[in-house]
Amino acid sequence: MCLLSSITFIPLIGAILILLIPREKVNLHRLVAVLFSAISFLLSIQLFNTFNRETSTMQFVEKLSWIPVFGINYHLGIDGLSLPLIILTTLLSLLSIIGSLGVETRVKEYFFWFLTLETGMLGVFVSLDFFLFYIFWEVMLVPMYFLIGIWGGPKKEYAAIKFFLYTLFGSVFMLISILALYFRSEPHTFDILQLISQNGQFMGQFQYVAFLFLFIAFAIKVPIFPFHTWLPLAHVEAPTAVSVILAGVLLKLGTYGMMRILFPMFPVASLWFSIPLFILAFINIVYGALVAMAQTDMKKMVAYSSINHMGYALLGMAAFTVTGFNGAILQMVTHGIITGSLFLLVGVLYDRAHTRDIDSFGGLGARLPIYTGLVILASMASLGLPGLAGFISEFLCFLGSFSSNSQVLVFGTIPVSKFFTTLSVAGILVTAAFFLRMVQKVFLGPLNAKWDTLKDMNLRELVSVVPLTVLTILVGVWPHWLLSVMNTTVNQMVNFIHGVK
Amino acid sequence: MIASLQILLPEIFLSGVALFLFGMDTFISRRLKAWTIFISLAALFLALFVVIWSPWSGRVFGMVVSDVFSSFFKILAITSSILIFLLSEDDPELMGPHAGTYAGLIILSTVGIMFLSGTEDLLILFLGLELTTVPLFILAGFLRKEERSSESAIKFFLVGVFSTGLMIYGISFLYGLCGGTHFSDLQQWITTNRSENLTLFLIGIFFLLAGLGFKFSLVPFHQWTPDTYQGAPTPITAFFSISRDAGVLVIFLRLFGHFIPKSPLNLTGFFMVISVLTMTIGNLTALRQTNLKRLLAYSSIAHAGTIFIGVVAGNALGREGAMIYSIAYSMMSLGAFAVVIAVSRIKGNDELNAVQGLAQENLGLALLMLFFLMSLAGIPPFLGFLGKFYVFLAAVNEKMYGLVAIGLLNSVIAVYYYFRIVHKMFFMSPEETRPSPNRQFSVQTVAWFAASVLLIFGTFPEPILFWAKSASQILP
Repeated sequence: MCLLSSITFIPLIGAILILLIPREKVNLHRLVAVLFSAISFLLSIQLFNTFNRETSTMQFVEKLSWIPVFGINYHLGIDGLSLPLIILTTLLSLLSIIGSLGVETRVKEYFFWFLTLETGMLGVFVSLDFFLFYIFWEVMLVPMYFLIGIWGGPKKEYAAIKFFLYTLFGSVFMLISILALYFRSEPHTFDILQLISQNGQFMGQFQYVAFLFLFIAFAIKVPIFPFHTWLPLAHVEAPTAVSVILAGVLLKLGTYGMMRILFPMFPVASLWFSIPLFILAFINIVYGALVAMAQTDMKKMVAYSSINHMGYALLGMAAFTVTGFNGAILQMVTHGIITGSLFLLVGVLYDRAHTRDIDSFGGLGARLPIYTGLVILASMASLGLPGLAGFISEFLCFLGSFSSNSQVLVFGTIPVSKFFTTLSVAGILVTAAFFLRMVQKVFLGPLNAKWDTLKDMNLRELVSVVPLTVLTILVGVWPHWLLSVMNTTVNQMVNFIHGVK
Repeated sequence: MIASLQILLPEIFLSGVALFLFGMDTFISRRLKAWTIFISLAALFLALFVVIWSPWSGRVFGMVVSDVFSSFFKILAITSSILIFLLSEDDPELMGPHAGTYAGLIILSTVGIMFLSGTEDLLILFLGLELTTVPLFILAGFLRKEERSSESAIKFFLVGVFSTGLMIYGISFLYGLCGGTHFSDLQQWITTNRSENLTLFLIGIFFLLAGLGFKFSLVPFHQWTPDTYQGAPTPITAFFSISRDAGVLVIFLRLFGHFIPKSPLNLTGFFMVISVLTMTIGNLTALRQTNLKRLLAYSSIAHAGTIFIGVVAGNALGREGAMIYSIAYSMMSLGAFAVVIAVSRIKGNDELNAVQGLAQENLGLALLMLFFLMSLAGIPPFLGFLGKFYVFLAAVNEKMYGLVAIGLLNSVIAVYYYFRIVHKMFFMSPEETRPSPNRQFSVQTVAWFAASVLLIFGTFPEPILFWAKSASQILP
């Protein structure tokens, strides 16, 4: 039973099928897209049900010899780190495909690229061979380029090529490190698990250089300041469903890569890099929040809030503690859920009003009660209101980073980790400020007469958003069902990283 | 001695067919002329089978060798020229009244590459190169009504003759020093008495390199390439890029990979500079092109530079990488030119604007072109990526990190101009709707064939890697 391969490649089969269906049969294209992403999602639920939570070894492993000349294997497997992200990917893909059933232009190509994109993303999460990982990592860019460039906003073409070249530039660094690692390891291998178990051979200067190269490749994806400039443009110009995928899944590839590859492979360099990581996380959190506050475009605001939220995940990672890592993974998932629903909701309003300017609305709460409720709930989750998903993960990230005891002191008394954690809390304040301001300006106050005729959400939109809302509450009230999946893996990972020291 | 001639059977047979085809041009009857294409294709297929399953291997007169390495390039050359025939099959200007000449010249040029692939002697090297290029002089100017075509032929001719002169000059130096033209004579000289007269030897090598550099269009000897590429009939342009690759690469690999180790001559640094310059200048100039053929010409210069990394690395991995890359390159450039031919027949020109909105007019063709461009840009899962990966792997093995970094950054630059074509095809709307094109069956066949080779061997490269490995083991 090759469950992982099925989950990964079923969307691709759907994409090829779509290519074979004539262009005019628009509804058939939509049906195939929904069907194949739904199958992939259901299979990933099956994965969740049969996953063994007690062990940290790789599960559902598939290993076939692929290019024996270089010892490259088709090696798939998942653990508690990748499983939540796989389910997040299949879920968000299904929901955004449902959300984009309203796309009318070049429907065939749209769903073809969307399904190819899904395969690429899932492939990155399941592959345990660096060569395979790199292939999926690159393949994913092309569909994204088309999805932004054809169906995006006014500056779509520039946004598409900027995104494409920026990430390709990052992959250059990754490829060099992959090749260098191959010759450093003995016997030569591309297998991620073997490379990790051989990490004793990557010592001295090599370790730091390779670490930095891979870090840049992943940091561009996250994005970590100062590599973030592609993000606002791409997010704003992309069509709604693609923004959901961008924020919900693509950004996680960067943090996933760090936890899966970077930290275990170069533990010494990682611990050495802990303090810069704290500082970068702090910048991401505060800078992202402040810039988000300055936006009047709702989508741009949500986009910058992503930079802020990924900063929390980085903060959780920077500490190298079990709590922090748990928080970081949970933050990836909850950010995917919450920001995904926020992007979908902003898209709903944009479809009706054709503007996203915060100042041009007012009093929508009376006209669109369901919509208002959903937006307020998502915003509250995003700003970290207790009882909703965002609170749990942010709390864990802060707790984890605060509990780490860094040897380096600031002002002679405060450990640097505690110092930057404390400063970062300011980010929460700013986040609350801009979300509340948005809610106030758009939904409260007197109704702007211009929007008198707006209709509330239709069934298709509800189907795509409500599951995310339900999850937001579910994770917020009872996070154990998610944390229990990752805890064993995280424990082992943290022990491993500290053990090599 | 004479018995060893059977090794050359495919070459002799093809030359005979070429001469016969020249004769066919004298027939008046149109019906007989229609057979040209079938005869050439049949002959090429026959030669292909003989090369693949030939039981003979060994040396002919100690000058030409037939081994797995040479048959690798022979198969590449014959397959490519079959595809070139398919590309030009329904072009009335090429396969019109002078079909026999056209076909015969292509076959002769192919025979030239076949000789080159087995060369172990400077004389055969020289003759093979001439046999490859002289037919191309005529073929480049085959569109006699078009000024550009004649310009292309003249430029190519002048440069070709000049580089031949340089090469002969270099060879005469080497002959004078080593007392022989066989590669092993050179090898012997360099191992025994390299202390004296090394400068003279180097001058000879440099002249030889300059000549080869012209043919391989390495910077700074590349200036002829864009004009010739643009002016020549498009199938011939495609043929240029392949013959250049296969023919000259094999010399570099045989001569510098086997007989003359680079280390005593300290050529590695020099080769590295050439490779970096070729990649960078090719790519930077390609950025500004608005003609599809010209753009592909400059990109082919850049690719020559990247393939050359394999030669620079100088290890077994590098040789294999260069071989894999040359298969990949010939397939992707053939495919890309096939699409350009298909498009320019519909639109009547081969400017960048011709592909505007192609995705909405003909999604299949646009996707094929996308595959070729992705492969050219080195994006997986196509064979082009594997070729790049392979040569870079070889260079990293030699700890040439700087070279790899420059090569990889160049491939990011390349993505920009390749995706300008993609941008035109997918993001723009067609300017005006044209009447639906004729089927162009044979051109489509070539494109599909190339795309499937790229995709199949890109995802399951084992057989092709194995082949390249066994071929490159012939050389130490």
